[in-house]
Amino acid sequence: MVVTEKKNLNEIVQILKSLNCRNIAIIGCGSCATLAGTGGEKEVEELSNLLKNFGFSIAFKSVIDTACHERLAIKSIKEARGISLDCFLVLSCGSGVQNIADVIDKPVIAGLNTVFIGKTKRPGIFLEYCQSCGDCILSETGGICPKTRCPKGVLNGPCGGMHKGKCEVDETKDCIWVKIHEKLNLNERRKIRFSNFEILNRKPRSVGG
Amino acid sequence: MNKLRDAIDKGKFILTAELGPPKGTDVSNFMNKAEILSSYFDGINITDNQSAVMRLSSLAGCLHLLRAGGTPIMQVTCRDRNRLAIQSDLLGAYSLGIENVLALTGDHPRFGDHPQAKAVYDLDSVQLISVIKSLNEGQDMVGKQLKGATNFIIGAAVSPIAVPLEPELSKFEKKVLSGATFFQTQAVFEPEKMENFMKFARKFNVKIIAGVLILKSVRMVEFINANVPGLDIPESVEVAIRKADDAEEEGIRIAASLVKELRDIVDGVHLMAIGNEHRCVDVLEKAGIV
Repeated sequence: MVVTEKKNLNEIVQILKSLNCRNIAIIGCGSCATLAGTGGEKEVEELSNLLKNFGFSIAFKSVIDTACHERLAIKSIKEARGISLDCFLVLSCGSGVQNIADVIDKPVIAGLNTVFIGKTKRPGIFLEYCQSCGDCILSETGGICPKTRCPKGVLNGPCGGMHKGKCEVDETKDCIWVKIHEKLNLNERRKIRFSNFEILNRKPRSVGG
Repeated sequence: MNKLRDAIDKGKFILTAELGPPKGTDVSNFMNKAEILSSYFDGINITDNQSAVMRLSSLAGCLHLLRAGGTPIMQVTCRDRNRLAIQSDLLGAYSLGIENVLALTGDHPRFGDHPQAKAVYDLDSVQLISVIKSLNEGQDMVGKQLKGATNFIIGAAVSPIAVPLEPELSKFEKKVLSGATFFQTQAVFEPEKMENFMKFARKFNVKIIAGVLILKSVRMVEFINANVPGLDIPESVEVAIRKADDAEEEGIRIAASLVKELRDIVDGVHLMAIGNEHRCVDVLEKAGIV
């Protein structure tokens, strides 16, 4: 999932004030942000109450099933037609915020910070697992991504800083290359392929069309 | 003349030492040490922002060393430069007479004096080795022809006493297959562990140069154990330094006796004196090498 964090309330209030917004729409996301506990029904309701205390009027609320889906966003926002709104405050990842901005001509305000693609270890605890590099090597690395989970992103084995199986950068963490070797040995697949240079360094891209 | 190439070709016991460039532009102390080391060592490693502490560049340090009559081994890390910068520096270095490189991943900036620096790691050490190999073959890493190839001797690092060892050996093998022809090891204190590693390393046609650290004080031991990634000083050595009346002399004695023992096990030694480089020659003398 795309992991998000709540922005500081004061930061949101400051932006709303600087844009002279009074009548606000709050949009949540029923997918990742709901799972992350940052942009579901509950959080939209909570933020709505908090902003009312600051004197804002919350004129429209909606949680879109998937805020980053263009058709779903258009459908949801149609319901706001006829309501006088100064801006849309969006509680979703950066893709959701931009998707909303694509389909309306009002100011869009990001209510969350997008931090990474990761897994939920348990509620509230998330670990970064994927950098969406566009060249997945997980089948060769025991289902563990060294590009993401090694602080240096090295692709061919532990660096010289590995110490008793722990990471140079954080001694409380396992060296991810040691974990990869353990996993591959467990599955009796000892040979790790040579990586090539096709690993992308985060450039914007689209899939299809 | 490239003394390192000569020593490798002739099967001589290879002697290398490490020298860090100054933090600043005053190279007088660096030059003094470079001149002393040059007459005894086949190659002198010039570090590349060692421990992620910003200093005069490895490339410039190598040029100063060449002027002092020494044979530089330019250390190149993947920490500070992307693939464009690394390749262009390598071409520049070769064009200026630097013929030996040591390809390293590099300590993370978190440990250095600029902890906010962007950690680049566009390449890792194995990839860097194959990039240098392709420059040697007259092509850059995307296959474009070079007007004039390099002819570097490619070195790499290995930790013969890493725990666990298997991932390290696997990486060592990748480095050999990618084009490394000599290896300088992390500091070793126990020759028997080195012997064990050599049983594996001898399967490959590469030179193994064992790292020997010259300790000079209790403080240095404590600092290394606390701050240097991947390096542990065994308790027996620590006790010997603590008990000694003169810790510096004890450090020389320990290093010299290691060099003596390693002489029959490996292809050469790499002395790391961390600031005390003028004592490297004493170690060689005590070990009966010069």
